[in-house]
Amino acid sequence: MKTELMFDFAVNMPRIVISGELMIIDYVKRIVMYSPDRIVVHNGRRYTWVEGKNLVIKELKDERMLITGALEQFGFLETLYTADT
Amino acid sequence: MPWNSSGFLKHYIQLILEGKDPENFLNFCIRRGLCVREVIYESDRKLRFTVSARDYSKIKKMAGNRYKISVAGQGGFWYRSKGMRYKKAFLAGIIIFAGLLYYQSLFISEIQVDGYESVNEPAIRNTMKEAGLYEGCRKKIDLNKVKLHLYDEYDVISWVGIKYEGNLARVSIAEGGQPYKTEDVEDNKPCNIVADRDGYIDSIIPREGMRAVEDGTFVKAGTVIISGTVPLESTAYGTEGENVKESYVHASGTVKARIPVRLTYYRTSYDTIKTSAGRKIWSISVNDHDFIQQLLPYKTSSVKHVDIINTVRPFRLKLQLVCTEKVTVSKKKISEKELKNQVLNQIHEYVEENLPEDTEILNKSLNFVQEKNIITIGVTLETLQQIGIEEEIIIDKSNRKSEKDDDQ
Repeated sequence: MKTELMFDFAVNMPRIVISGELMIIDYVKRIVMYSPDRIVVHNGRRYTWVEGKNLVIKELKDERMLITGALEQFGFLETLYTADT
Repeated sequence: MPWNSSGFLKHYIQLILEGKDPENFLNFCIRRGLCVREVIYESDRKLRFTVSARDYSKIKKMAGNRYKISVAGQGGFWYRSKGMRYKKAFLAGIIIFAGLLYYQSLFISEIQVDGYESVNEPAIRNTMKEAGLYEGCRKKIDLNKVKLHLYDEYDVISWVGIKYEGNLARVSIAEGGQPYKTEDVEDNKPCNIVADRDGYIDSIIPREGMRAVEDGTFVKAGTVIISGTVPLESTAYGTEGENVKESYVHASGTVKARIPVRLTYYRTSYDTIKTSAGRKIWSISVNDHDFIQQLLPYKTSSVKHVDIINTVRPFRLKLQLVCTEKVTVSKKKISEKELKNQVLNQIHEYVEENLPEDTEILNKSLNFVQEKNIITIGVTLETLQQIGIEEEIIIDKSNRKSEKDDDQ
């Protein structure tokens, strides 16, 4: 229960839901890079990157980003500095 | 209020953003809580995205001098419907189409008749047409009047049901039974010959059975004319058959009766003769509305219609060419001889249509009574017709048994 609540309230950490050709990233503070092959976003404490083909940001609202396209890889990168919100 | 994800109704604008680092612009949108959709990367310096029309002014302000914003397109139901007000012909077309659809639904386009046996369908349709129900008529008619008209016209019809299914009128008919059996009784069963109509007996020729009435007697329908019960004098003395007083046979024979038929016709004492004056007006009538007729300058006229279009689908349209000809009207007194000929023709038609084929007309009398302009002609026909149908004799065996026991 405590672990679940931690996930809901961790606003500086990325939360990702992937389903087929749709990816939802929560707590997007800033878009670092956007191209049809790669999207990198900053979530506060970490960076999240997504690689694929024909990536399109379907919706960007309330720090939530919907990405569609042929998803291939995604990953996280630590930051050396504090979150820049 | 955030832009609802179901964007069908809301007005949306598709924009093209040009400038250095277009991702920074998206970051501005995130910070200000603006909803951005369908972000498509076109190049390092160009992005295409969609925003709500409500947020467009904020976007323009945010872009300032750093980015160039151009409108690629707009959409949404409300936006398109606003544009409709400039397409008057299109709107008028939709309204006319809806009006035609509604207008077409007011009429009956098809009539189906089920359940008839002895009456034929064209006759039923003609009868319904006289009462106001026909293909192309308005739905708003008195169906009870149509039903009563059918009941009056055809005695065999015992029930009529009329139901609308869209533009289809379904007429269901149930025919009732005959008042007297017309089927012959089997030859091995005893029967009487009874009258099927009222009349005065002219002659009875029994082949089997005994005559029950004399010549000249008035008989009503159902009266036994040739009896199948024959008296018997038993000669079987000392046996069970000694007390049998009657026997039963399958009666047969020919029975002719004089049946009076009374008819009444009405005529006017003058015939109206219309003579053409040589002037005509041509017009067109739409669905039986002829506007020229309402403005007609002629006091007396004769009208002829020629159908050009007469259809009920997809909507009721009856287009007729109307020729209104001026006529002068004169009266001619009908002579008694002409009147008599007319009535005799009608009598002849009546006999052919309503009386059996082997009917003989013995006597005919016409009585003319004139009251003001109307002549009432009373016709009495004395006809000789064959009457008589077989009616089975039902023997009550229990009574016969009890009579035998009593005697013993």
